[in-house]
Amino acid sequence: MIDKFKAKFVEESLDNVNDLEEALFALENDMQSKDLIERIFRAMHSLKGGGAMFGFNHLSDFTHHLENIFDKVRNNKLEVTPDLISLTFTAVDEIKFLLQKGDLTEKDDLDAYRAFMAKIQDFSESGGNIRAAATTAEVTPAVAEGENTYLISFVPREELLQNGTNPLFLLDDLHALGEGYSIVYTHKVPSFEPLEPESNYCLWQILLTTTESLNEIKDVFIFVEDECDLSVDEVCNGGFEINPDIKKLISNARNSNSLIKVSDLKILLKKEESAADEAERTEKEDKDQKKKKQFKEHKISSIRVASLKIDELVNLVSELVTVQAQLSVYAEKKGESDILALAENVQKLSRQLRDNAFEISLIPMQSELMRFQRLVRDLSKDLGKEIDFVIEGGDIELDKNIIEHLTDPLLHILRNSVDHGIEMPDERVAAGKSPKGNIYFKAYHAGANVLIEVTDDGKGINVDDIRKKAVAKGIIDDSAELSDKEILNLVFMSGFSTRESVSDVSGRGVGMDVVRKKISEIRGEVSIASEEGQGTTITLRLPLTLSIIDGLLVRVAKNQYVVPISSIEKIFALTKGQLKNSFNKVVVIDNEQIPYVDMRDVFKEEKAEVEVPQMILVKHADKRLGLLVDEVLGEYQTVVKPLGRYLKTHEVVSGASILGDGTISLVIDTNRVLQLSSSGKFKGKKKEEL
Amino acid sequence: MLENSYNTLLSFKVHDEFFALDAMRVNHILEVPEITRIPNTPDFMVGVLNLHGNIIPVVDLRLMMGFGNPDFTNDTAVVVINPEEQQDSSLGLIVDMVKEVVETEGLEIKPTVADKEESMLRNFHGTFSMDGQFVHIIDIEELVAAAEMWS
Amino acid sequence: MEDQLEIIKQTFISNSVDKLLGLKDKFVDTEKSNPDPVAEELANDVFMVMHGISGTAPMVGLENLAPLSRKLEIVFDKIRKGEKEFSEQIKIQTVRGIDAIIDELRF
Repeated sequence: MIDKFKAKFVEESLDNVNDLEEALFALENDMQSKDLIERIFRAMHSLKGGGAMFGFNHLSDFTHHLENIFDKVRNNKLEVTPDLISLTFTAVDEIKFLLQKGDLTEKDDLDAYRAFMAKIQDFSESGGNIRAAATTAEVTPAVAEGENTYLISFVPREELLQNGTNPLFLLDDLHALGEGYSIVYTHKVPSFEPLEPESNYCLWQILLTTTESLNEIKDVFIFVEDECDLSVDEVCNGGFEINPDIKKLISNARNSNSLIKVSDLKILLKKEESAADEAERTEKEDKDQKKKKQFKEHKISSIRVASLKIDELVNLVSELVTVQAQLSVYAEKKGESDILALAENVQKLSRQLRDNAFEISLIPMQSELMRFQRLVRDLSKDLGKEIDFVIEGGDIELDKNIIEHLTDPLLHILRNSVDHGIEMPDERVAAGKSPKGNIYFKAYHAGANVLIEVTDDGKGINVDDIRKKAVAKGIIDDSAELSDKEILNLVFMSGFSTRESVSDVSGRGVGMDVVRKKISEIRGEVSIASEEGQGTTITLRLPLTLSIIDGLLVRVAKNQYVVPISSIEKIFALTKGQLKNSFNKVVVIDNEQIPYVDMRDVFKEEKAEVEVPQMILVKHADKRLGLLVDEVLGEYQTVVKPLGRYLKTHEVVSGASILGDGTISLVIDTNRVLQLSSSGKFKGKKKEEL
Repeated sequence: MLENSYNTLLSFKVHDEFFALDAMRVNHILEVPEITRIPNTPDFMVGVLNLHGNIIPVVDLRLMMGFGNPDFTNDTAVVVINPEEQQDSSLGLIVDMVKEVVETEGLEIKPTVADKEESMLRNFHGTFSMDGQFVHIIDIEELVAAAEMWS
Repeated sequence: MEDQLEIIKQTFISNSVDKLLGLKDKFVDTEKSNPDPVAEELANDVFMVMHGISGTAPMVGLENLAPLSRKLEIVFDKIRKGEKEFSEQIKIQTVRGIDAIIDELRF
């Protein structure tokens, strides 16, 4: 049972670590920032406290020492240095490790941990030049001589009561300092309806004659300074008396819903007036205030939900969409206007619900970006390269399942850019570039897709090298005529590498086939553009969500299939003659020659004469292909379900969708069909070859 | 090879032999529903079925065991197993007849001698005797691996 | 899991209440006797207790406690380092603050 709770702690701590890392990055650029140092200290502190509480003793000890360092830093006893930042970065990794492992038991881990601890302790004790504690902060001014009168304007925020502060105590304390006169303003108290008993709507001004210093007065409000606007102004020497003029000033202020001004009061107090004891009134007003009870309420603007629950919600909504489709089919068959109207309403609602649910399952990429920054930073330092890494569009939201699948490929792409794209500083200077390299990471929306571009201004890729390599590896034929773009895309072929020796980081090309495979698993595409000497851009095109698509329902032999509409350019009805005349599976449409595949061949179905065959023209990058199907049945918005692990690697079917009548139709991955078709896969292939 | 991690077994008939597997891994037993064939897959992979909105791949255990030309009768059933408690590992098995749930306690389980050349499943957890019939206990891991291996 | 949380929370509450009551006693003492000799030590005590509460309260779902204990922590951090004067008024407000936190804990 405690494990679940621990898991929650780990999850929350990882958020903390993320924040810590983010603050560290910022601190690297602004080493003096008090806010950042404080943020880092807080994060360490929470980790320490939580660690001790949930039995992560090593974590707790470890962060305790780090906390000490940052405590010194924030008290100006230790300076922020690049060394300190690097040390903290590595410490962050250790924290992650400790969070993942819990208390260490293996000897190797323990040794590493102890060594690291010693390093930190060392740093904490002697690492920075210990500076004398600067006593800069609040300087106490000389205590005023004799009595003065102050006007104190105390304007608490509505939430003052919620953290247990009773403003009346504060007023009492003020009065205890000397001779006081409170003016309470209630114009902000709403008429009965919206009044919230736990909110504070009153504000006060207090005239106070005291021998105490200004600071002493301010100290009364020391623990509420964030929850109120406070001003304390000296208005005259000596005491004061409430005369009719001052009363008039007060009532004027009340009537105009404003406060009395310091300047007005100063003028009035210059005159000597007779005393009027209004303490009774003050007291009465105070009592009124006390009626407002203090209840505490914590307002929640966002909640954390287990991702499983979101999955379930999305699943249920998908179900609902399916059932709703069945209802629509039924209603249309019945033709009763009542049922039709009802079905329409259900359709409208479920569509809204669906949009809503899918929106919930989208999360921003932000959290992953930290890892990318880390990678670029660490790797460039290791390699002695200088790199500016700029991220744009980090707030773009994607289905969390997509983000999960995206991280590894992107890390790989970035690694390539740092390792093989960006040159060493001297090489760059020699090439007439600035010594500092640039990597841009840009994410943006394009229709129903999200595009992610990773661009570097490094040395680019030599097309001839790739070509030679591909020929040597037997990937292409020596005589093959390929455009530069086609050649570049060879790096996505499996087993391709342009590096003679593979470095420990990544060989350009090594693993690019894996990148493509992973991206295509989430129905995405990857492409590359590069100019020698100028740099390389890798572009990922991703669907917004994995689970819903607009599809075209088609029939091939007895089976129904769904073709994603996003990949379709046009649909044609052909005559049989058109196909008969076609030579080498090319059909001429609008004076254009378009290669096509017969989906019956693709699916190894028997050949059949179809009266009016239909051709679906699909497009991917600059390639076009016609898919010949028996019949186009109509357009459907459908929920795509995974086929499970046993069918995950199917060559052309990427998912399944449940139709209105409960039957299943398979979703065709048109990009795969295109790829396989251009490699000649569908020409005379036999079943045994599977 | 006999770790008795299971207490109950579900036994069923495939062709004219009896087999059993861990009953705790069985989620549903269905009459053969409409199964959507998936092109370009081996014969034993008969397709996918719709089980309460989830897509479940179905394999024909009879073909996997190397028994050809299987019939579909009133007794033919789909046993849906969930080997790893993950949605995506659910798998339907077509069998000729579901027999019964057997408690393993008190059963005398001996090493399996059955070794059919054509079968994709060769590694059994053991064999026991019930009502004068031998029942072979299927190794679910091997079954899953075999169903996954085609691609 | 609920139970565990509740147990941890209750332990935290009773520990914190004990510590706070202890602190309060010390304050009452300093009001009577000459406060100066123990001021630094006391400031440190307050800092440590508040530091603990502000750090752990949010972890057990007592978010309401964080702002006030946090403020006390900051102020007493300054005081213990001699950056801020440990004024009489601060003592009064601190006792108020401690009361408010105890109320909140017992709520």
